[in-house]
Amino acid sequence: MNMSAPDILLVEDSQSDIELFMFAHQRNKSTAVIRIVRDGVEALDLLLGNENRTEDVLAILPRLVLLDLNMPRLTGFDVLERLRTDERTRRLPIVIFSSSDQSADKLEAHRLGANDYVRKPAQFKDLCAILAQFEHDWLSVDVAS
Amino acid sequence: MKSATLLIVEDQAVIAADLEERLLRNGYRVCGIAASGEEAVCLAREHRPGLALMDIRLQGEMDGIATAKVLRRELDIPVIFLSSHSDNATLQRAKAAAPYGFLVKPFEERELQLNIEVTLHKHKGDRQLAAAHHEICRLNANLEQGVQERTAELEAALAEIEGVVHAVAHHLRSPLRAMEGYSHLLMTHTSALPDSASRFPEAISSNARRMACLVDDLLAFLNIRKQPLYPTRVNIADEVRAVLRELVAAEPGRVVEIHIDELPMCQADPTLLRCFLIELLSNTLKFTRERVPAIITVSFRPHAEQRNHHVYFVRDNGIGFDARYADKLFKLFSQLNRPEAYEGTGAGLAMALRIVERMGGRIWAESPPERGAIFFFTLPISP
Repeated sequence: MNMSAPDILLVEDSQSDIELFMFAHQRNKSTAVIRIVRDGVEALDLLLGNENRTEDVLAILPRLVLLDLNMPRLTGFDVLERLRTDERTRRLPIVIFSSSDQSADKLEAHRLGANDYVRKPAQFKDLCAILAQFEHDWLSVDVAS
Repeated sequence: MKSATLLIVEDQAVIAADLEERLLRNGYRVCGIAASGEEAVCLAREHRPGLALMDIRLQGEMDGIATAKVLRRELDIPVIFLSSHSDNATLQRAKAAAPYGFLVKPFEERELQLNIEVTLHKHKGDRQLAAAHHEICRLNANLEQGVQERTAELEAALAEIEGVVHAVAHHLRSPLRAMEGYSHLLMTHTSALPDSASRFPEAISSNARRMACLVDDLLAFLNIRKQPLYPTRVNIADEVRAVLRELVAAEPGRVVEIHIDELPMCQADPTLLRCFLIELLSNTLKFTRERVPAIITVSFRPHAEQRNHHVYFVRDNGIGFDARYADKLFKLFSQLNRPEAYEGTGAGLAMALRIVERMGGRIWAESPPERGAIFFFTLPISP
């Protein structure tokens, strides 16, 4: 397993959404390193690990987490809540990236401490633009400092 | 019939005894003779007579009128007053006890008998009437409760249906995104497709986009019902002005002449009112876009039937509509023009209708031939 820190961790269960995301990444000629996990459990395993390997965790934190909401096992909200209660990931940039435009979901994301809420676009060209915007907003400067 | 049991309330023993004798002679039973109101109430509670013959002046605290009221109210026993006092003041007081008869002493035996028979008969009728009234009230209450239960059931069913529609619509988003995305990617490979098929990726992509719009509009339409309402006093003229300014600014190059009369304040939820005005006025702007200038007038008039509502209206010089299809204007996803002629899904006016109804108002439209369209809507007057 590649343990070097990715730029963006995409937490997404839909195969099509992942593939299109990577096509957009390619279309943008982006150099950002993307890492993908397929659900909330995998995301928490990767970000928090288990008690035995906590020393690795800070080294592999991405600079941005894009978090889907509707996923099998743990939902995006569950993941967000867990990450925000853990000291190591309390300030990790997390953007909810979901199909839902329900205000209840936006409010819940805000309440649980998401940095932003972006609705998945219906069109591929908008996906390209949003991905570029993510890189501009979160990767272009050293947000962590 | 003559087996009725009577109570005599009379403080002069001689008169009471004479009365009892006469009653017995006529075939009635007498359950007792009371000399005071208190005693009368006790006897009545014990024997439940069918009728009380009541003197007005009695021994003790209660007079005959007070006693009669207790017998009527508490035990539903009809009372005939027997009194030597027939002055108006006494009569007026006696009326308050709702007696069935009033005989002035001395009276004929036949007169007494007739009064007793009429009273017994009339009281029986009154009892049946009261029972019928009670039954009607009970049935009404049942009916009311039934209607409430039924309404609650229907509302729950409607909420469930809308919930299912909502879930279905929401879940269509992901596959639509995939269709649009992959067909978009396919467009870069059109050279590898036969000429006859080269436009297909774009056709798939544009249809997926349209379906995504339909899904968005359907979800927005369903969300109106869930939106909380916080009605307050709103200056609707300011809102109309602000919405029109934004909508016109979004269409550079349009020449639009706007007249907004002084409009009375209304009672509305500001957020929903704004959504309503956006839907209504963007519809107006859309169907006036061939006019230079487009002329939009917003005014009001008092409501003829509902005094607590204003009628506001928006008049334009646009293409108007065929009055024969006016009922279709406000239906979800119904369009009166060819879909390629005007963009959109046909949800705007359906949204406007749903919003204004949630705020307690109505909306309708008229289109005088060759003179554009007028949209009327009502909103409650602010208190």
